[in-house]
Amino acid sequence: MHEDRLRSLLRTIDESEQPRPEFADALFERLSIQAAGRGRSRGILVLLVAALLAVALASGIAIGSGMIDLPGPSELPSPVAVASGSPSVSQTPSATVVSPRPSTPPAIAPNGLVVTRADSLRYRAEPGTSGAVLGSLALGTTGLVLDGPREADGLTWYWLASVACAETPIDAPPCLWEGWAAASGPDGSAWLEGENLDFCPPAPTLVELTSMTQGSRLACYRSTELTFRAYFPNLPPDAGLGGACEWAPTDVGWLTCQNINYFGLTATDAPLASGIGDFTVTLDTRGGGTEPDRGQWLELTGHFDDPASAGCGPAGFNADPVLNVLNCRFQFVVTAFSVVPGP
Amino acid sequence: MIRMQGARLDAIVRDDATFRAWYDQAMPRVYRYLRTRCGDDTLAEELTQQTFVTALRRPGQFDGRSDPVTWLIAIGRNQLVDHHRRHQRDERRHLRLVDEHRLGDARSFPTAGPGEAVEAALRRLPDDQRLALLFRYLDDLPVRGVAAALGRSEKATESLLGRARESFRRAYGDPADA
Repeated sequence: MHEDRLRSLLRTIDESEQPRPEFADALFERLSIQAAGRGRSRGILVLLVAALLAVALASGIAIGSGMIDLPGPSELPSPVAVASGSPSVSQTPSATVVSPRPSTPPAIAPNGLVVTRADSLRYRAEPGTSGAVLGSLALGTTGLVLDGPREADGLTWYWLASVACAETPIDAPPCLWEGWAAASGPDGSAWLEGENLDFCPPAPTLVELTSMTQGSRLACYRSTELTFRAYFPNLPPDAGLGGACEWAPTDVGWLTCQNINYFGLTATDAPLASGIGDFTVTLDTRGGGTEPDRGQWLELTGHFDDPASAGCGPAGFNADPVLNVLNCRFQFVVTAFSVVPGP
Repeated sequence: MIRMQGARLDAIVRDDATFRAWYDQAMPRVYRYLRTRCGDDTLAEELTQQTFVTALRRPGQFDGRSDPVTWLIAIGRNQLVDHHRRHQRDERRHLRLVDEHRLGDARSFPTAGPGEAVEAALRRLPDDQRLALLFRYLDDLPVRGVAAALGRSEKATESLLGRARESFRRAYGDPADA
């Protein structure tokens, strides 16, 4: 079909649909609460900056009087960023005009998250502009930092990976991508920005874990032991699930082969209409552990980023061993569970 | 009407009235964009919500040099692709559970209006082919942009678009030499 005809056909799709007013209001309310939370954070930051400036002023008096030593230039803090792009904003260093970003991006570091601030950002097989281009990332793509920084060709590079892997690979690589991307352009413009982890619930529920990407879970909790309650549902009678995992006999079979297990959990005890549940976990069976009975509430303890993941490279559903390791790191490994009366 | 271009998002959200006016302008556009591309009211609402929540989590990323809706739609596009990846994953997992008739309903595009036949043809396409066509010929993204949005190489995207055009042609009922 000719491209012009295709373009004109697609433009006949009706784009006049309006959102429901009740949805619009509910979302606005939620966003207002989110924005208000940031406002409070900003207020606290302004107070902190004011306090720091007061301390600095007092220190200046102390330095002038010889009471304390002045640090060397390399130890001096960087200037606080002030709001830019608005001619009305004074650059005078006063607490009342310092307007730090609502949520200052953290430094980019391994096991943290980054977001692309440039569109079509290339990622490569090696750090440096001569590395083979593996693909490109759209603006706003979140990635998990695997390694870096590395300096090459005048740029700073980080090894990034997809924050999501498919859990049941059949005919496609389950993890999406990994490669090296530059953090900023030659002119200093940011191409990658560290993502704050202030969204991480300290003791996540099943619902909260389910709503997070695999990469976020890893960045938030690493291998910290977590405990939550969940329902282990009965499978629908016609589930028709089954299969074998070729890596089952290997040392990491218990971890890699979780991809075809049916240990899916739910947040309610409602019968499943289909599927196996909302959040799939894997059981550490190295000590002979077996799955609990279905149809009951459980309290589970476990962790992401199990140390055994390091051995997943040759054993997994991806052609790329790096992604096999990542896939294993994403799994929630149950180390203990008990039956509980309810949520 | 507030002037959106040139305004920093982190400044907009600081003032309740400005934020509401901005939201009232931006949200329906983002919703319509997603509704048209996913063909489902509930999913469009879910993706719209995710888009705005994600955007407000990092308002400082938007520097005011372009229309913020363009920025929001770029985030929404990512949400849409992520959704279909999850959907594809779930579909693979539940391959033998899923009733094709129900699956068709879940993905259903509206069946009224001048684009009914187009929407029906799109409905029959695999997710990746449908998104590739919509991004390329409705959003007018260059092939490189479609590749970036779908996380594929340009070569693979060209190939995908070729298959998608052919699938659409057959689903729409055009002759092969059209």
